[in-house]
Amino acid sequence: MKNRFRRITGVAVAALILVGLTGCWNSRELNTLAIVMGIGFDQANDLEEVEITAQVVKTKGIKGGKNGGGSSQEEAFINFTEIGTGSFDIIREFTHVSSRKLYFTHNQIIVIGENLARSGIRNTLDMLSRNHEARMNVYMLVAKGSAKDVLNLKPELGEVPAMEIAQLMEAQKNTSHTPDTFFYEVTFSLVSKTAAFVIPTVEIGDSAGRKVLIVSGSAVFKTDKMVGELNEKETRGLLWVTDDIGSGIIEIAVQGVTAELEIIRSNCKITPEIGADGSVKIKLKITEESDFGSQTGSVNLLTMENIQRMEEAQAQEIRKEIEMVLEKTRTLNADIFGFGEALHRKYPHQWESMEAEWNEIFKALDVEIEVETKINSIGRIDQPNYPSKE
Amino acid sequence: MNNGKEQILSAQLMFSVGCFIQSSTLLTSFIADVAGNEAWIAVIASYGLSMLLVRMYVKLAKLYPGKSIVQISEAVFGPVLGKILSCFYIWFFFSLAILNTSDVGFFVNNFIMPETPKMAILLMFIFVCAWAVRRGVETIMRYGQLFLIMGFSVVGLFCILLFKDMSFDNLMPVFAMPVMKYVQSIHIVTIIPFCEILAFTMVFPYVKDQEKIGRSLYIGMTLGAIHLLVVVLRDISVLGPVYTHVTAPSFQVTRLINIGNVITRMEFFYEVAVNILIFFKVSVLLFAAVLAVAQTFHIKSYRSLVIPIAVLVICISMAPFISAAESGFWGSNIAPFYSAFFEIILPFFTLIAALIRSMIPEEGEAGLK
Amino acid sequence: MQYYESRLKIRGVIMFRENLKKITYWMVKRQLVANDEVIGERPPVQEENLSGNLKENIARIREEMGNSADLVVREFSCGSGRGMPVALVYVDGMANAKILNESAIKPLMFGTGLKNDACRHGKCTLADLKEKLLSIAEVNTLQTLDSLLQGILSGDTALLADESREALMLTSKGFEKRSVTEPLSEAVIRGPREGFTESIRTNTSLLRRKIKNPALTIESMTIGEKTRTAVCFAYIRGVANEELISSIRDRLKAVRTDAVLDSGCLEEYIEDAPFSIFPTLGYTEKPDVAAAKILEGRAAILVDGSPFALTAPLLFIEGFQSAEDYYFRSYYMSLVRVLRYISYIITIFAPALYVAITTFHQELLPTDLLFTMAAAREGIPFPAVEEALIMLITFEILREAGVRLPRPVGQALSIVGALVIGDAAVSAGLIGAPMVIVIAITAVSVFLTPNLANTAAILRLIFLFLAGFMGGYGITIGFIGVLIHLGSLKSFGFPYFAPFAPYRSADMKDAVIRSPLWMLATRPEKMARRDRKRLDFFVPPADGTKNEQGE
Repeated sequence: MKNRFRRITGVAVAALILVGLTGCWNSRELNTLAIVMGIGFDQANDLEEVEITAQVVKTKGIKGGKNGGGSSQEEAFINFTEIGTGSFDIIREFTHVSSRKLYFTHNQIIVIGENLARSGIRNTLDMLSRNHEARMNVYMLVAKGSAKDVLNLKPELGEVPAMEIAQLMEAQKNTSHTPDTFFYEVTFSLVSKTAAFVIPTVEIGDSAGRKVLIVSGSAVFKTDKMVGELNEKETRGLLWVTDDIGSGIIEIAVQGVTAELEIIRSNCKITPEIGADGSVKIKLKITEESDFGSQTGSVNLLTMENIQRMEEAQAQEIRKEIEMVLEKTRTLNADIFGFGEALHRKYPHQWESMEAEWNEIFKALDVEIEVETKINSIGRIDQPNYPSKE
Repeated sequence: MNNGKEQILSAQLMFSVGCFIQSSTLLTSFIADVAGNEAWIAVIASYGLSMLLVRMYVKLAKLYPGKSIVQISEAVFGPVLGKILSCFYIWFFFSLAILNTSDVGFFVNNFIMPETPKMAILLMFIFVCAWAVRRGVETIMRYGQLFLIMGFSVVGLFCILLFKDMSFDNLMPVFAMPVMKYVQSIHIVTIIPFCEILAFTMVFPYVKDQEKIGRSLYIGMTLGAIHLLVVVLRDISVLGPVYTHVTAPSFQVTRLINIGNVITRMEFFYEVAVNILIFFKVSVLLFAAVLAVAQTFHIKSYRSLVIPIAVLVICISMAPFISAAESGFWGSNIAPFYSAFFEIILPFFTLIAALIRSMIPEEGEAGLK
Repeated sequence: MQYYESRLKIRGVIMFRENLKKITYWMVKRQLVANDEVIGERPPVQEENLSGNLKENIARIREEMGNSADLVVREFSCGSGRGMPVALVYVDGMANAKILNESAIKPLMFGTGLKNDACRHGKCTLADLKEKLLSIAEVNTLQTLDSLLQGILSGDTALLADESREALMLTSKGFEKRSVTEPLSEAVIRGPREGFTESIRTNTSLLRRKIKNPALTIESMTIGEKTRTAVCFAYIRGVANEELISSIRDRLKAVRTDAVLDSGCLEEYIEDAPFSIFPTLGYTEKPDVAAAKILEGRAAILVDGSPFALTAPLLFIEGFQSAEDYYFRSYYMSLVRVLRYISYIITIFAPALYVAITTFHQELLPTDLLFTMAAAREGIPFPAVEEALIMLITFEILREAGVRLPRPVGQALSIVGALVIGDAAVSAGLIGAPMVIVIAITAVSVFLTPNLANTAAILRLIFLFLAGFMGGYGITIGFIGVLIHLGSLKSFGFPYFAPFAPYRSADMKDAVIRSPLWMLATRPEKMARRDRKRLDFFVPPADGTKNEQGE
């Protein structure tokens, strides 16, 4: 019995010692972390080198709990910048200036400077794919100018610029003039041989004398280099095809008055066809529903004929946007719609021979667009605010 | 109240078999490397093939009711040759236990806690497995039911949460690969998840209704196959072209869940589920190895052998391969043939010999007529 | 050198022999226990018979009792005239003097109904007295001194007569006992408010009133060398499992101890797994709970002097069932039961999860929560594990103190303690605010499952250490370990974790949710082998809102 007692005491003592081993291996206390909210990649002056900016949150400055009261003057974030050749190496270099080790799991955005985007991003992003701390559903943005400036801009409504940008990205769903690209979507496209992708662009602009961030439009990447840009309408044309429309406003003109329609939902079906003579045709069928938003003028647009006219005008507008983007991408020669993938899925055997020459085939691709629209709800009034004509 | 001998109900066996196959969801990276986006076809085809192969085990069990495969080979081939075959089986279960344990070590080390030394992780894991085996096979089999339900609910939950990220187009190009790839992937899936049920042949002596063994095995395999198919389909449809690139597709997929920014970072559930499922698998394998040793060398109770074998497992599973690349190569290219020897060829010969044995007196009688 | 060598050798040999002896002893003992053998009966008590001489008997009784001051011997003559000398022996305070006066001394002294001749010549026997004179309900005849002393010490009175080798034992129990009141440990909103008391006869009567069935059997025995406590166990013949009953009987008979002061003492001698942190015997203070368990096929063990009845066997899910569950309607009670499971999980895992997530797995926190926690942790001197440990210990101290202090002070202290100490600690920067909240929730949620509260406290600590050591992985391994332990634990031969581990679908109706009573048509499997059906088939009660046509 004494031996058993001794054994149990031994185990108990060992357990108590375990409490002291709390510095062991992987445990890190919360106050030893530098939580990174945004990363920016820029091309340094030397073409081989990359400049990485990491935005770290200062938890003392965040208004939360008891600590937020008096420190509203303090900035809630700090940007560290380093220059080097390998991404992982640069990030570790941060330990020379930061007292805490950088912690990437809560990273919200990745911003790439324009120069770096034009010279290829694949190698810089390799580390982010491999590292188990980096997550895959992180927003990606291309900065017109340098990423460092974008990350340095103090936000108006929020506390940390990176979170502000992330929330901006989420708000883009309301106009659908920008895609929201996640990191894993970029990886998908980098892996495939023919696909190209778009990344939204962000720039520092002026609004009422203050500097603000403007997110609109997108940058087109082929393989991994940026080759061009799309403006708002062209980007929305792209989103019609890839089924990423959230909401938005379409302006049309009917019977001499302009009307604004709010997009509720839209669906696009891509059907590739290979004709008997080997010619490739893509059929796009878009079905869209919208709500009647507002109108100018006194003509009542909510009559049966007018509604039909509006639907046709809407379809025309959508078609126009898609044709705009098709033309632009033909000049840039980037298959951002995924037509190649669609062909691969439907005609796997023919695809093997077409894959190598896809660039040429894409330029001469015949695309047929069919749009069906419907106007659903009409709002609270069914006549414009004009005195009714007797 | 038990009478000293442990008993397992056929329902427990059925669920345990299903749970065993569920534990292989970590290993889908082997199939992914070979079959790519068409792994789901491989799963369906190998399910059919495995049903045929498992018939072998069931037939053996019917010919020698109440005996495990070690005892059967001794009864069929005689003491000397039977013992040699039993040693093969011992080595097989032992090596499977080592491989699975090193899988867990790899998973935890790479994804959850990179800086922890592997010894600590494996020590705790094997300690718990050895404890379960010492408590008896009844304890392990009882939890098969619970863990199966848990596995299904976790996978179902993730499927629902990932629904908006799934694009079934990713499954589409079918039959676009060379035939050899299909053969290879079917081979892998048949051997690695499905036919490792050989370990359950060691459990047969404890099953209460011997007639229902066949039915339990088939239904259990079907449940496990459904789970595997759902997991593979989900992974392919979410990850698409990146499916072949990532090291642990099922894990990466759970990291993508993000619903309204509230339901996010759900990989905790996945990690816990994987730990529990592989614990179950390693416990069963450890039990099979220990029992095989006990039965081969006619040791009364297997309890005393658990600790030495567990210690050996820890030591070898620290580094069974030189590098992670070798481990991947092993899984895709060598393991199918290595395991096929033990899982298919040996039982096949045992079955033939058993059938011949059972036919010899009949031949004598037929000669009389 | 040789000298030391030989000494070492001798020591080694001695050690080896000792260990060998220990191992053999241990193995043999395990063998015996495994085969459920009884470890020998108690050696029989000395059977000293009474002599025929009254004076001698009285002297011997006085001697055995050590001339105790509360032993009363009343000698008188039975009948008029010379009469037969008899003596009443009883313990003051234990026997009811009124009964003695009225029903024993009075008829014996003023002997109506007995011919004076017979007694004058000393020819009446004790049997005559018993049949004709004594108007007492229960009268036994004894021959041995030991049983006489047992009877006296239980409150009965002994009637000794001269020239008789026997004695009569008259029941006259009249010691002070607590009246039947509401049980303090199990408060209910709805349901009977009677509770067991310390007197075993009152307790059995309470049970009998709940189950007015002749099949309710109550077997009794005496346990405890020095205390000689009366213990009895109750079950329903035909419903309870035969093996269970015989197992309980054997175990109770095999108990060899000095004192049984409370059912808790007895519990430790007959339980299945003394080294497990989970209890395998339940306890209850309410007769309706005990009756419900007996009706399911279990047995209740009553101990004299203890208001807590033991119930055997105990399953894990019983910790989550309470009596009130069955007295309210099923919908809300199902919710409450699920809540109990959730609260038990919270109370075990919350501190460990908090430590694991904030120390190892910060990636699992949503971003905003991470900021709050990181801000709260700035400047705290202790690592998270020690912080949690300090808070847990503080709460355990407060809890114990709240129980032990006299009532008016106790209430104030727990409230003051919780609020002030917690708040002050946060302001002083010793503990972080989230930690206080986590520990507060932990401490409060344990009270939904009082039976398993002690287990929860230990499990909490184990998981906390594991979390501090290995984070989420440690918790998972600990969880698996606990599951293994639960899965292999047996309570009197019944699997502890049923209906979860050996999955019994028929019993799941009462496990996580509480199905309406008309659905619980079968008793728990294996417990009531022979009589499994409570009802023939479940018939929902007639829906009063529908009229005859079913509309």
